[in-house]
Amino acid sequence: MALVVSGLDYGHPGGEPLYRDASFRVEAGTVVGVTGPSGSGKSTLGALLAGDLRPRAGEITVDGAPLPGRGFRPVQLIHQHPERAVNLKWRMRSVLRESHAVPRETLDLLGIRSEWLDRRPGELSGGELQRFCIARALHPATRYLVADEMTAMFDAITQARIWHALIGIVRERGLGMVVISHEPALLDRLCDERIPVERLRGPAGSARRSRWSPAARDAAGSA
Amino acid sequence: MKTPTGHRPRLRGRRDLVASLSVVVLLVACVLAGRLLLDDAALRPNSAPRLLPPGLEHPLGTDHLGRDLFTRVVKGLALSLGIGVLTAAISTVISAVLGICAALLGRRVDAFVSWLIDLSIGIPHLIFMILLAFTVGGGIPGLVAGIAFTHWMSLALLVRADVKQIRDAEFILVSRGLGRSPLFIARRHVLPLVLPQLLVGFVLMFPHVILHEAALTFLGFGFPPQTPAIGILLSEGMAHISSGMWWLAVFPGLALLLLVLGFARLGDRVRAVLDPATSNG
Repeated sequence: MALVVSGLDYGHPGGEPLYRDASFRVEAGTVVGVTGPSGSGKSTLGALLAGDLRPRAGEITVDGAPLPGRGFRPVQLIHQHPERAVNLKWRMRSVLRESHAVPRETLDLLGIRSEWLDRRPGELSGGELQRFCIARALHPATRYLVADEMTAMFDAITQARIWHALIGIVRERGLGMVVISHEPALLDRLCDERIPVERLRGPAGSARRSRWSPAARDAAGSA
Repeated sequence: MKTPTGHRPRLRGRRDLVASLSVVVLLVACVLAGRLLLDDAALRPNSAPRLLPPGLEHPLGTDHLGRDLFTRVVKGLALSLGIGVLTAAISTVISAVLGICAALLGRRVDAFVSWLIDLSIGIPHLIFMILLAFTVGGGIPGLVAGIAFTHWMSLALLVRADVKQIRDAEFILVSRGLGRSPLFIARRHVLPLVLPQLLVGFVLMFPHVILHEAALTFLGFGFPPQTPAIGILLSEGMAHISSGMWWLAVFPGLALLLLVLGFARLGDRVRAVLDPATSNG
């Protein structure tokens, strides 16, 4: 039971390759951190894992089966900017219903108040909206979560509250989780394992790698 | 009291909208009332009052068969309105469906729709329209099909471009990841966002359709010659202009002008309020 990435190749159309022959696995029930400096392709990795982008080569399997092309995807991505990830014309109730009938306990765990359900996204703060995005991603069929800089926009207290609630749910359901972040402190606290994004670039990425800091190079070398 | 200057353009836009909407509503109400109240007997040939100039009994005069011109103009406008609504609605639906499909359903569908649009734009549309009207067999279905199927392209291109801008938005990617079908995404996410564009397209299509209906009937495609359609009235009236019977061509022409200008202005105003960025007035 794992999210397995093997031999992944990807580059943006017209750009140089971002990943070459990248492989790693995320066991169900574990939390894996992906680190790297800004612009190093962390979000692209998140989009690939969630199936929003197609790799050029290699494959991503979820518990043995390839990512489905259509229908519900068992890997759910939580975006950095919740206000872009919800339709601003909808009420929050509809935003949740687009996924599934979210049980009351989940809403309580995430600190979503029932009076927020009848509001529109513009009437909620970013932290409040992000809780809805998390609740939406916790579909009963979800096996893995990818959190792409999920709390980078929020203050420390909001960050701590959101992560505390989410990690509780993830552990309870035995979900696997990929945390994409450039904050070492956050990853230290949350993750069972850390993958520097440079490690995924493969041998041909060495020319680009030299542009990153020596520390990052060391991390890539040791991994 | 002083109005804050920042709000002026928008307020003026609203006031213009209300004014042009009132003109159109008044015109439509008059035409509908006329259609219901006026006596059909005035449409039958009558040899006594032939070619009378405008007067008390016949406000717009009579034609060479003694038919009351006022009644014929009102009935003609009513027919134009009906055809206008039907045709504009059909071509707006075609534009919306094809535009959204092209942008959402992948490269092959997009290529096909683009090809269809280029093809339809490439054929001179008057000829295409006459052919279609002729194939369907004339009458209202012929006119509606002929005009609707030649006037969806520009709106379809607009819708396609609009949807392309939002199709990669994160909330649509999320919706797809949650297993929602393209139909759900089109209906719930995309359609509400392009609805203002469609509404403007619908209203602006209307005067266009009425002019084309007049043109087609003027050329003799569409209705049998006794039908009181504006195009037929105009083509009959043309023959009498040189012999001094000016009212036969002038009044139907003025009525058509009023209706078309009213709707065109309304369309512009609606766009100015809903979509100030692309509006030029």
